[in-house]
Amino acid sequence: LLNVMLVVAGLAIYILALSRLGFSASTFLFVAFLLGVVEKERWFKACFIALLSTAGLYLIFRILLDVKLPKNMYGF
Amino acid sequence: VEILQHLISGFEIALSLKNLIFCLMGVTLGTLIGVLPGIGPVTGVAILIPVTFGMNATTAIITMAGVYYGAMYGGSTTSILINVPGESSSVMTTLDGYQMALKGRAGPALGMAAIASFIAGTFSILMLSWIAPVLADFAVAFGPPEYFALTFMGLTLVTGLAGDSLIKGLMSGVFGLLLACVGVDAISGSPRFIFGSIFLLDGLGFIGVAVGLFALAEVLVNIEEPLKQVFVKTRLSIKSLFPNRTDWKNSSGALWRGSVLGFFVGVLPGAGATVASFLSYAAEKKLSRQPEKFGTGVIEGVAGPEGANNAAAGGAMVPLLTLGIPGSGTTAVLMGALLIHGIRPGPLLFQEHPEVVWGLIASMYIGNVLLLILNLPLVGLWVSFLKVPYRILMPLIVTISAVGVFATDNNIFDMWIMLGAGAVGYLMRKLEFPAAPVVLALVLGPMVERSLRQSLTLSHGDIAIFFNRPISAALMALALLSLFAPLVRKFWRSRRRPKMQK
Repeated sequence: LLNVMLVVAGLAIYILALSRLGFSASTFLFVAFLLGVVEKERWFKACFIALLSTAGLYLIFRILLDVKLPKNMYGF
Repeated sequence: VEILQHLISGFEIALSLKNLIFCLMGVTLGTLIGVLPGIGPVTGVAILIPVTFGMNATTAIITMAGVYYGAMYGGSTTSILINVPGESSSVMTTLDGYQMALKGRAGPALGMAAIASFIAGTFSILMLSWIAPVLADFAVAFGPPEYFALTFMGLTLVTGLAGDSLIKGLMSGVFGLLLACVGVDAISGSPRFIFGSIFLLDGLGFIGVAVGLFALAEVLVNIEEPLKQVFVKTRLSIKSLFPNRTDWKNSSGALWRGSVLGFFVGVLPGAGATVASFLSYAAEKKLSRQPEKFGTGVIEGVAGPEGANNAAAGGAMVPLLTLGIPGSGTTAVLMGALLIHGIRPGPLLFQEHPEVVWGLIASMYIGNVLLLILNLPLVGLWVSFLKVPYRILMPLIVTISAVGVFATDNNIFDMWIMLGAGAVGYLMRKLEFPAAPVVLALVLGPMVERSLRQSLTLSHGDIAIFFNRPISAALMALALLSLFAPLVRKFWRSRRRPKMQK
């Protein structure tokens, strides 16, 4: 049950973070959080997969589907 | 002859390079979703709505339908090799499929599952292309009272058959109808249940609710109860996949019965692929000369249910396309997707958008051929996907769902709806409330309401209008009957149980 609450809370924070930190940073942190904290993967592996999936999602939604993803004040 | 002409024009649409590529993409994704336990076809289709949003309607529905019937193929692989059903519709395949794998006959089991899926799938599309236009012609003359009776029947059938408990099903259905009330009243124009939020004026976003209720809730349930997977070690060469002559002899009857049974069960709203495969297995066991051998690895126990669940996927398209009544969670999501593309399934669909209907039907013929190719020689590839642990998949499903929901409307508010629906969906699973009636009621809600109020305006408020007209009276009677179906089923079960214990 702890894991369920962690995912729900994490998702809520992710939604809040999207409009402030921008898509790339918050997605990376969110996936790393899910892998590292919820699934207890090793941090290195978690960060690596998070990086890959952020890049993959960016490719699908921003480049292939032309969706305007939220950006932070530095423009990413 | 007319049907043939339509089919030919449908093939022209479906065979265009773009549609062909997306059909391939859909069935590939569908197989993958089918193979992976923990993601079902509903989840797959729901996640795909945002992705297909930018396409034209025909391509979008071809892709999403591909996921739906593709998942029916993939589910069997998991059932046979690790004794965990990839989908709820392939539960029955675990019984004999896994036993065959233990005996070293995983190859023929996988091969027969793919071939049975192909034959039954193609059979049900043939039936679909033959029956659907006839039914649509018949339904064109429907007025508001008939529509109300029809949607009412769809709702009662699904709520009555969805779960084990009629009351829980009804509660889910009414909850969905309530959710459908949010937004601007379609007749008087006054806003309802929006609590001053401009985001709710258009109603609750369908995508957010569907993705939350199915995809997110499924993830939440799965992280709580991790799946255990034990592999049967097998070496699979293409040659080992082909069933031998005795296998064919034993399973051909099961296959045909499964196809016919599956199609008609699929047409009934509320039943669907899982019930079809269950009934097929039960029927084969009853008809067999050696019923005691079932469960020890007989090939007809694989061929029948696998054929039935594929035929049911085709059958489920009949009420969806001709009447605009989805019969299950997955078809409700498909219908929601069509509505988002501005296409209203129903009898007029065949006249207004023949390119969508016939393009879809033709693509299903092609998709089944593609699936046979994908699943016979490439089965080893799918098996290797099974080795990706759910731990790694889970974050990806959550993030793709979240970003996808955002992407449809560029609206963060929809993500909150998804989160809320996910939490509600999780609780519903835990308390054993079926989720399909909620989504169905949300999709059908506006239609039920409009046809009800139009009919009552026609009759000056007299509800007898639903019982005076022959078609609507018959449909209303069916609807009421379906509410009593669970009681009948319970009665049956209590009679059958003592027998099984002996």
